[in-house]
Amino acid sequence: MNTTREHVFDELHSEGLLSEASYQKYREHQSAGLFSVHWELKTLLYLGVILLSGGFGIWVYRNIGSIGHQVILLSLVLVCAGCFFYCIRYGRSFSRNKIESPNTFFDYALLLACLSFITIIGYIQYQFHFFGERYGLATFIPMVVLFISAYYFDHLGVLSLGITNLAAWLGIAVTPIQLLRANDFDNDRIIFTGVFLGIVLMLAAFISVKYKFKKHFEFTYSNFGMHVLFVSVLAGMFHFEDIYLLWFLPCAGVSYFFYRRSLARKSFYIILVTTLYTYVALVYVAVRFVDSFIGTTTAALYAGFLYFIISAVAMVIFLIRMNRKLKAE
Amino acid sequence: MIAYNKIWIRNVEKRAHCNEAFGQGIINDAALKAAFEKYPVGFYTPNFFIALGLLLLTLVVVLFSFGIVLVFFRDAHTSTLGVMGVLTGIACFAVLEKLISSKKYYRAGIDEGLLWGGVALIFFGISLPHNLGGLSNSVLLFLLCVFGLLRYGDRLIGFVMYASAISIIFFLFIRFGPIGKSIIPFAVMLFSLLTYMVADRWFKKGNYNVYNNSLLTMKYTSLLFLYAAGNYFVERELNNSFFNLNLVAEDKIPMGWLFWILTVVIPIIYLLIGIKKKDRSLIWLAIVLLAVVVFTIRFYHAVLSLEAAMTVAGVLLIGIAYFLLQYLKESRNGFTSKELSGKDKQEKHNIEALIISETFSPGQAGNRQDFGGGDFGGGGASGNY
Repeated sequence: MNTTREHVFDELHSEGLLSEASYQKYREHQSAGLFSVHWELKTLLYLGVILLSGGFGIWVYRNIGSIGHQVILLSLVLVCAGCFFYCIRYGRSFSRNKIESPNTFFDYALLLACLSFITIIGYIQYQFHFFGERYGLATFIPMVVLFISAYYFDHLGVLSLGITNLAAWLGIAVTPIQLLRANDFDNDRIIFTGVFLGIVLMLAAFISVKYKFKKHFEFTYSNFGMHVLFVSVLAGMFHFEDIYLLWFLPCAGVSYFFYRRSLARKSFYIILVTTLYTYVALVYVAVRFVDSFIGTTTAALYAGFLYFIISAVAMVIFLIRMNRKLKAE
Repeated sequence: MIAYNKIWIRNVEKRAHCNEAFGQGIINDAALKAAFEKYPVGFYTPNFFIALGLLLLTLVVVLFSFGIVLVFFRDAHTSTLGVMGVLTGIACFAVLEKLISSKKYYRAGIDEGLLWGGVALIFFGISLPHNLGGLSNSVLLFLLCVFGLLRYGDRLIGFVMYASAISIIFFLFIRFGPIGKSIIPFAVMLFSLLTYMVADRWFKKGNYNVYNNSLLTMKYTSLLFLYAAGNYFVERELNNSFFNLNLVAEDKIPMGWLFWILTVVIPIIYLLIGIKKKDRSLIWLAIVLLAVVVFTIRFYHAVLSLEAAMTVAGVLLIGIAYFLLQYLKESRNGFTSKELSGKDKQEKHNIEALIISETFSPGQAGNRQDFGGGDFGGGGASGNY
């Protein structure tokens, strides 16, 4: 690659800090120059699966009633069945531990199978009202299939889809971005459901580790659980305006829980998420305080702005300390 | 010229090379340790996530500090506010210099936040009160970014600097009437090609140059703008909006055929060069631009219905990827479909799972909620992780 550039290893070698064997290895590596396109191909496969299942999804809806539409549905069923068959045929047998997928293609075949299955169920409900008015059942069945597939074939992506479906079944949309954007949190029931779902997900994460049942699923569960819990308690604070201080208590509790967890897991990611959500909560409480005690005067503006600055600086110092602490342990 | 310790910047890159070799099993633990001792780095650079948090918080501090100034001068004239903006920006740079020299911050989020905030405050502080035109705005931004880049070697500033340089060319050529307008794309392409060659040469020549990151940014930004200047959509719609041509859908632009050829051919050339040079960034750029080609063509010619195009593209992509996976199982011509470094595998899989759930998130509860198709997001980098 950089043949004209002097490499750090030439320097290390000439100063005797790099053994002859290692240097030789480096030279061989350099001349062989093996270049892996693994993640490039995975991305292409992923895009292909998205486009194919998306295309099928639109196609099925647009052509309802026409003759071609049966053909499309049939091909969708064939794709779904074919992919599931491929996975069962080539998949390794079930294990409580992590199973390495037999090949790279396998994971995407399973993803395609699950996505087309969801499309088929959705279509059946839309067209024939197969489940009648029991919309719950129309989300419950794909959810069960997704979870079984995720556990049996050991697929984190399908597990995430399953969790999303679980949330849909409970009545809320639940990916980190959608949580913030799409949810209408002006609804008591949804807030309490969110808290409940968050606790369930954290329990699932806990159980995965405790009983060594798919231990590596823990991150996916707890990541969803963390965002759901934080957004739910924050929404509780915003929604129940009169008792927002009461809602600040669970919020502080959740913050403390994830603070401890970030220490235990040595996770920089968890501490970042915790800090940012907690910052939002603190700012909200402060703004309410300023609002109720000073009102909307110029003094209040100064006080509010100053508070933003001071609290942000405090958070900066906190993050720097946490960085040191997590690194040291 | 650069504010950070030069030796340490070089050592950061050298350490990165050693780490990479360690991950590939080329050097052992002891050698890595020896190398790290030989190449000390005294910078304060926190973990990526911490730096991200620090960046956001620093921007909050800069924003509200200026907010307080605004409240204080709320009855003053706009030009006074502009001066205050510039002064706040200069204050940002003063704090930045102090923190770099005393706390040794480097890519810590805080330094980037202060730099971006400072540049933005000075730019808007001068530009807004004076109602500067396109050319003056571009020149002002360009000069600010040249300073920012030379002093701090920041990549985003490098990108903005490049974009403002292109914008200068654009506004300069407009002044020469119709002929000037028609040669803008070619001038931009020529300029991009030149900067690419300069950046590429310079990067190859300099061993562990402190501006290596900036040079790499310039290299790929040049290629990006080289493509954009020749893209049919960019050419047509920019002309349309800037010169009020009021083109309707069927109208063609002069030399349209040439732009169509450039639109399609350049990404293919990038891909071939990327494969030949084994340049991963170039390959990714080419993949993204190939998607742009598809969108550009579909924008003007609905060859297939959306769903048909998606299905065909999906089948094609899966087919190509499947074929290459099988074909490159044993390495051929130095290419392999196997994963080389197994070090951070689990982390990558976690990221992948998150991307999947982001792209296929169902909408609100209802009878259509399980149709997760049609969303083109995800795929590339996930800024949210």
